[in-house]
Amino acid sequence: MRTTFIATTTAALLAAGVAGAQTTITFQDQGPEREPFNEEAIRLFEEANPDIDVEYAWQANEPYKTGIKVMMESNDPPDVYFVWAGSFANDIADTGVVSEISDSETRGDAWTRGASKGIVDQFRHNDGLYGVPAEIYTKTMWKNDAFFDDNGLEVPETLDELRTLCGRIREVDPLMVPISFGASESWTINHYLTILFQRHVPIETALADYQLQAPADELFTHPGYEKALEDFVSLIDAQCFNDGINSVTPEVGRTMFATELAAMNFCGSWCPPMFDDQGFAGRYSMFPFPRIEGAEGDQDGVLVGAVGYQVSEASDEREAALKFVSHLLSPEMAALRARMIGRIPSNNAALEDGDLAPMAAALLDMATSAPVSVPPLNTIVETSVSDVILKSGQDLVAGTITPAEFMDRVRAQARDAASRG
Amino acid sequence: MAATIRRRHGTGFDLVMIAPALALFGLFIVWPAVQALVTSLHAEPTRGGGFVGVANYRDMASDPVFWIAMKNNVLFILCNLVFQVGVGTVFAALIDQGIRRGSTVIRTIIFAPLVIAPVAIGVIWAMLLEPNFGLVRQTFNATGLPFPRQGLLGNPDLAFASIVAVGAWNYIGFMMTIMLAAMQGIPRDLYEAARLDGSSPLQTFWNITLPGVRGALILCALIVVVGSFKTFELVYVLTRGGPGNTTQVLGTYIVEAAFQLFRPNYAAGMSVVVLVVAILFGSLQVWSGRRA
Amino acid sequence: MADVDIRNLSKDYGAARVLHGVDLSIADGEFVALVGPSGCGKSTTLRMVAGLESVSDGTIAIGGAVVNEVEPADRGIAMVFQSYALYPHMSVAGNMGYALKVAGRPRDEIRTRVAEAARILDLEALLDRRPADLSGGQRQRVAMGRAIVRRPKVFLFDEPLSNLDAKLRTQMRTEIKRIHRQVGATTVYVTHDQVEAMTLADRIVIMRDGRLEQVGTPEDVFDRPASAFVAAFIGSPPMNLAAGRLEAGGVRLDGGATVPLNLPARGLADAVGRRVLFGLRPNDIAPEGHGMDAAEPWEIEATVSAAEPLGGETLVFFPMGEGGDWIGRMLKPRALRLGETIVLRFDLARAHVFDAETGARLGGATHEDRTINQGGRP
Repeated sequence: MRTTFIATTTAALLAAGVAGAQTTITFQDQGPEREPFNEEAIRLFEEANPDIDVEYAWQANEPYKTGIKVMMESNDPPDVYFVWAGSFANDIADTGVVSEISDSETRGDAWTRGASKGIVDQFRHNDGLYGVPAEIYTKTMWKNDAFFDDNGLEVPETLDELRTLCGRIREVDPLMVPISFGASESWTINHYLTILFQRHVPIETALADYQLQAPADELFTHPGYEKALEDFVSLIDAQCFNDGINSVTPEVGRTMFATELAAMNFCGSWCPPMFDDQGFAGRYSMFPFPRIEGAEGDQDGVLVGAVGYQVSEASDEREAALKFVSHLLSPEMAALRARMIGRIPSNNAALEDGDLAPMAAALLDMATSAPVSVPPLNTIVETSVSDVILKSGQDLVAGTITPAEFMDRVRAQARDAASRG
Repeated sequence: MAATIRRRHGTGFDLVMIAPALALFGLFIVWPAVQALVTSLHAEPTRGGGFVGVANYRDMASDPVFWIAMKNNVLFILCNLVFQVGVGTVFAALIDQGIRRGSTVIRTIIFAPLVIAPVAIGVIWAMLLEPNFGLVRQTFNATGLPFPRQGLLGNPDLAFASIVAVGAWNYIGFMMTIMLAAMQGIPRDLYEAARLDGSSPLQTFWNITLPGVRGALILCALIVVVGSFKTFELVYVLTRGGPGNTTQVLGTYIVEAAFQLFRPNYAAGMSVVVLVVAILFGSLQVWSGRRA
Repeated sequence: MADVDIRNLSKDYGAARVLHGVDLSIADGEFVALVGPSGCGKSTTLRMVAGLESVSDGTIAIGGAVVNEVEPADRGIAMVFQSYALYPHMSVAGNMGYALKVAGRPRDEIRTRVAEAARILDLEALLDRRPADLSGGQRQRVAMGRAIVRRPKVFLFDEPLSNLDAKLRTQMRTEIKRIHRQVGATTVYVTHDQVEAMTLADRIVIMRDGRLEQVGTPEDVFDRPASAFVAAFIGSPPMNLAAGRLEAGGVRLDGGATVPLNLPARGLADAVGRRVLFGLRPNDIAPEGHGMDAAEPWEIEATVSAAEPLGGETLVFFPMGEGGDWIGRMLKPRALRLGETIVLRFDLARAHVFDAETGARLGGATHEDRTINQGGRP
């Protein structure tokens, strides 16, 4: 059913000589990109705490999403585990298996030093704190510098220009895909819709809709949603993307860009290390997602989300687990995280020049300077409505529903969820 | 023999003899099923988990995705009966009757996919069907045939057919092998008698071969019906029920409901429905087996 | 009309030739039995006539038309298999009517013809049964019924009685004979049982190693076997044979007596000095007074080595020459002690002499029956 990669770090050798009771905590992460950093952080932690062993395992992105929920339902959940901030983290918290950790915040554990309050707040839910942020991520457009320069192509500033650019690229090189796009996992469509909704719908209206806080009959009624979907379809119609979007994996989408089969890509802050691994380092650059003239949202908004870790309510070693979380997310480890795996730590106040790779620094700058930022739809929209948006995204790509039908479905599910909620 | 034992030891002895099987069956089949049923009568853990009666089942009745999945399951059964059992039987008949040279090679080739795990089959075919670079796309290009814009798995009209085709590729060999074994149990002189009687190859297949392999045919059909009803891996790996929900089957929707939508109790309710339908099919088989 | 004419018929399996240019003419209405040991080619010949095996060389003509390339169903033949080959899921009526059904005959005609065949074979009460519910003899009759319904010009039987017990076999033999008389179709009957062949056939074809050994009436092959092989194959118990050398006064058996034979009268005067097999049937050896009229009596004192009482008669085993025991018969049995000496009378007028090397019959008192176009008896 799923491919599970398990990498376990044993601390048995280090601990062998130490007398007294050994404590073992289990640590489950989404992988494998954080593996080098995690192993080093665990090594340092076990050195400082010889009485605690950390058992570390990871699963790949898509299996992790269902796998962690299965594990949390089981009798033996991991003590510390990775979550996406927003509805994903809150759903797990709602089942009562997550430890409330405001005590750790109150006593000022290491992770609180320099932490951004706004990002920590993303883990608050029902007046409690159910997690600690680790990284932020953002998403933007990337381009193949040489291809743009050689063909005299300009970075598009508006969506109209982007559509025109797609046509130009098809003329210049019929074999070059303007924007590679893999949506076999539908969250990638979701990210386009996140930013398009943000451009078309004022943020207050959108947030009220996403959290089902508006009156039930007004949910998702802003005309901007449908316009955003129309814009999305217009990109498909303008031949901006490769064939078979719905059955291309996100990995293939990224690889097409890094291997110069595509001129542009809409990709997250986790992507540059991947592009670099494929030998594309230094030959690409970022540009903001185009503005949409006349749209009612904010034209300079960005997608920003956070990820972090929760502690299991069932943990027998809550104090040891909190100690590990505190270490993993301390400002010192944040710097190590930035250096080793190129991710943007959420706790970035104490970073020094050179800790962040230039590309990551630029992304952080973009994220922090944006007037409005919004997390991906599937982490903020109520789960059942989010699922309709995820599924209908593929239908929209396949051309089996219209933007109007899409929104009809969303509104129906939102009303339904609000009435149950 | 059985009668002798019963006379000597009575019913108590019978019960002792079947007790281990009964205990295992109870522990691993009945108890989980009862738990699933009880779970399905409660609200989701995110909504307090209280007793809600048949509310989950009412939700199911009005859940369009559930009905898409149900319809797909039924379609899947019908298609698999035709393409796995039907084609497998025809292949078996061809090898049994016609092909003299290389039949072992052909059998091995057709049988080979069966030894590959369905997940691996899915991964292999996902690669072959990759819409930009896959072998299928290249073949279409090389022969000048138009390739569907959204690929095969990304096109709502073709995705289901593609899954059926891959499933057939996977299982035809198995069905063929069972049918071939049954056909080879038919005495050769029946075919000679039929030939003397002036029976055409088609008439012989219909009147001699098929009735002769009736038992194997029913067995294959049952395997396909039950297998198709609880199908999961192939769909999950190839399309995840997409695009949208177009290829959703109960197996994938149960997993999605439980772990993506985080509605484990609703998912338990659907599992109960699958169980009930499976029991219905099962009793149908037992019943027809007794009659035959 | 429906004679069968086989010319130079050969069969190869790969490089191996299993049938070597067989010539055989069977007259319309004649009943011919093919006999011989396993692997002699009798079944292959029959299956080639049926069209179930291809012809490697030579021709088969039925009713004057060569049928080498004609489909089995179009040859005007019907075949009864050793296993009966009844369609297990069809009723008796279904089995018998299948050929007519696939030929697209009207329902009424099928019913009438099946009923007619069922009447001939006394199957009327069984028409709705399945083969699995029938006894061996009943299945055998259904198999014949299936053949009769097609109204073939030629009936082919492939060891049809070998799956039956001895009593049923005798009964079915009579049945087959009766049906042949009633239907009157040309019949080719393969068996390894020489009693069946003797009792049923107008003519017997004895085959060996893919060749015809002898073709003749039952009397011919019994009384004037063309070779030592035929002599040993036909008759039960088989003909006694002993090796020896022809001398002026008769046959000098190896390691023993000289049997007096009038060589010139048998046309064997020129063969003096030749190694031969001397043969005499058990029927032609008996103690005096046991009802055997010997035209040319010759007596010996024999030591009884074994005795097999069969009720009406007793077989007496005694050493003769070097080839093992010979068999004689006592038609008025009395208890015999082993080692007892009795006087046995041989009827040398019925003696046979075969060439020791080729096995071929030597001398007169026989007419080698290899004529091809001998008509059937009425």
